[in-house]
Amino acid sequence: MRPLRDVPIRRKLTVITIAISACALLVLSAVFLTSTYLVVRASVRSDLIAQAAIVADNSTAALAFNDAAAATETLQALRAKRSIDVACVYDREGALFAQSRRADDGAVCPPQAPAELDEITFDQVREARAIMLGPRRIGTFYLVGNLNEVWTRMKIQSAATFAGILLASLAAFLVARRLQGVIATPVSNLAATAGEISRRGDYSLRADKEGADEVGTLVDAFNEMVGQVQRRESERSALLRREQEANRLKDEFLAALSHELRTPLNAILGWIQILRAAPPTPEMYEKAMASLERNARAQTRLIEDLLDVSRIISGKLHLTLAPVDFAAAVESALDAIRPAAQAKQIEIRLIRSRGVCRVNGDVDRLRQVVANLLSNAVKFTPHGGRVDVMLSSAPSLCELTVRDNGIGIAPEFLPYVFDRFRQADGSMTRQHGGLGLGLAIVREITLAHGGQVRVESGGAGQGTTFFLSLPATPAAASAAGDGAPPSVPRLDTLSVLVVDDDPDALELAKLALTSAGAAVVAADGAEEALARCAERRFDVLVCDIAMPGLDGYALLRHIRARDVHGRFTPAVAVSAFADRAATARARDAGYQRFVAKPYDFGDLVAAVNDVSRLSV
Amino acid sequence: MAFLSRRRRFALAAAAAFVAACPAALRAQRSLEYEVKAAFLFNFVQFVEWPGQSLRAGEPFRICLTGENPFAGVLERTVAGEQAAGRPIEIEILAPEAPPSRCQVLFVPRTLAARAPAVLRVVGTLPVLTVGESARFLDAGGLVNFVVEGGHVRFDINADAAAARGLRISSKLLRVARSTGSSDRRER
Repeated sequence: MRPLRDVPIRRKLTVITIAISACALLVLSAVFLTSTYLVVRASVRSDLIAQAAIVADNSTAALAFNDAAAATETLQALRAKRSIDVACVYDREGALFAQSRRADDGAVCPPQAPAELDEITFDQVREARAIMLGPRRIGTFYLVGNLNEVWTRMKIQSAATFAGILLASLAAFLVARRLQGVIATPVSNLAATAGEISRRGDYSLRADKEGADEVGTLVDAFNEMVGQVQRRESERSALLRREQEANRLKDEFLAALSHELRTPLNAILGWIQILRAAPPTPEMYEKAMASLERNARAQTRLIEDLLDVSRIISGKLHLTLAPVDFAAAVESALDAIRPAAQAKQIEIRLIRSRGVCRVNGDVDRLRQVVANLLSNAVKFTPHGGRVDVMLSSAPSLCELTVRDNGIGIAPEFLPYVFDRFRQADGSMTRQHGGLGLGLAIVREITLAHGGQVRVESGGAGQGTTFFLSLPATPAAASAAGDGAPPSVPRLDTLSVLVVDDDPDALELAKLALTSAGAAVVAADGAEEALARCAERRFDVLVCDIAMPGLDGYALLRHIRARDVHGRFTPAVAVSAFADRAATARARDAGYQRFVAKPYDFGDLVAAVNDVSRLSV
Repeated sequence: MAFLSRRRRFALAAAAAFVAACPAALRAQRSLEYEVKAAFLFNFVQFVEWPGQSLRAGEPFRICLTGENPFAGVLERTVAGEQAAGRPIEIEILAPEAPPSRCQVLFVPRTLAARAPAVLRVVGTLPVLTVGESARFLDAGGLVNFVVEGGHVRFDINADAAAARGLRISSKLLRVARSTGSSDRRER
């Protein structure tokens, strides 16, 4: 129904209903009228014929006794019948004997009797039959009837039927108007809701379900889809918020990082200028050296923290597990923090229970954890404050509590204390320094050891307490030393080739090894190193990795290629690219040890000492 | 002559009616009136029912004439080969005042009008259709009486008397009759 395509469903239903009912009624009426016509015509005809028979019968005596008057009188009775046009009686010879005709009608009897006849046409019935007296035919009766009555009745019937169709269509229209809502209302409600949702973009709207039919199913499916869109929308905006928050945090972090990296450089460059300007007095020299060292170490610490965080994020935090005396690690970290505490006149007390506290872990990392907690405490404790460190050991647990009476932590920030890149607010960094990485590293390392760390604070100004617990290993006889840093070994008999393209780094390394007693040859690149190797052999190679031309990996390959006849030159890699991948690659390339720049002299010396034992 | 002209009209008017009953009527110029009456006499039989016991099995249907036969063979020809009440028709001439116990119709001709009351007395209440052609025939107890009126042969019927004798006369016949009372109507 193309013409109805753009019409509302409501009207479609109404039109369809009326069309169907009208069609049905028309067909029914046609059948009814046809059958009525046939029935009425048959009944009129049989009526006429019956009357003809009666009149014919009644005419027998008149005919037999030649009484035309009586015959005419009999026929006159038919005049009242409007459906009889003409009635005639003929005698035995076929001559007209009597007739009846209506005054207003032009029809007349034919002068001669027609042959016997029984026919019905569209509008006429003609009947001619013999008049019998006993067995003998004594005349003929002839009758012409019209079917006006049939047509009159048909007209009335048609008018009534037509009126009936109109009434029925009206009734159908009224019923359709009431009932179309059953289908149209849910559909148009759904359409309205869908339009509303699409117009306003409000996915919290839902279509009302009115029944469990197909439209109901449609409404359910529609609501389900809208629900999905709504969920996705809210997920998307939550994601967006998180991303924005992360971006904000990163921006703050970068600002803090920039600040933190500049601060020590400022001190270092400042002291260098002062030292250049005039020869320093011994006191000034000492002060300068202390400041330079402190700032350089702070810078190193910062960069290591960054690298640690980078490792943690990429899941490459590597622990070298070994039995560790945790108490020793704590004391070592305490010793390291003491100067800073004393500078702020903060009293640090260590309260430890009896017994050793043995942990299976990475001693450097554990020391880092404690140091971070302690430096955090010192950092956020004002001048003249106090930090209590309590170490207790249960059979299966080592517990460390670090309590300060510092600025405390606001309750709303407590849950985020251990998050990366977080400080209570951006101003913290400016006031207290640091990148907010320390506690994140603490948590990650603690978790990697299977331990737990948590924080408590009474709120701002109420101080802060950190609780750290680590799984203890059963106390075994201590094989290792007491945890004190080993003394720097001597390299008195060793010949070492040091390779680095950076003259400062080369000079430092040469200085470190020479001061330990080694005979050092310095080469400022791979070519020179190969030239020196050609002259003589060395016990140990100390080589920078990132160099122009042949890098550290390639150089070692060349050197090893010359190590024939059972000779082997062990090698120590030194690089500022200090992540695990670089370490692993260096080991793959044949380096026995890896020392990250910047390094303590002791570390480099120890590494050289270690690998020298492999030299053949 | 008035009589002749009457007779002529008579003949013309009756001709059509004779056709049904008496094809030979036209040839009998002399007794046109009797030809009509013979035809009527036969036609009466068609409109009257006799009681069952008056028709004995195996007997013919008898039309009896009292004393003489005024039809001069016309009646015989009229009924020749015809049947009434399912039996052949016989014409019988009875002596005046003989009991017509075997007759179904008894015709009393005009010539015996004076003796008609006596004849009818003999008939009594027998189921016999008595037909006359004289004045006062019905008064005397006859059932049907021919009259000639306006050149037409008509008849009166004494319906009550017929009913009293067990004869059932068709209403069609009564409708065609000039009168159906118990007494004769005068000629106008």
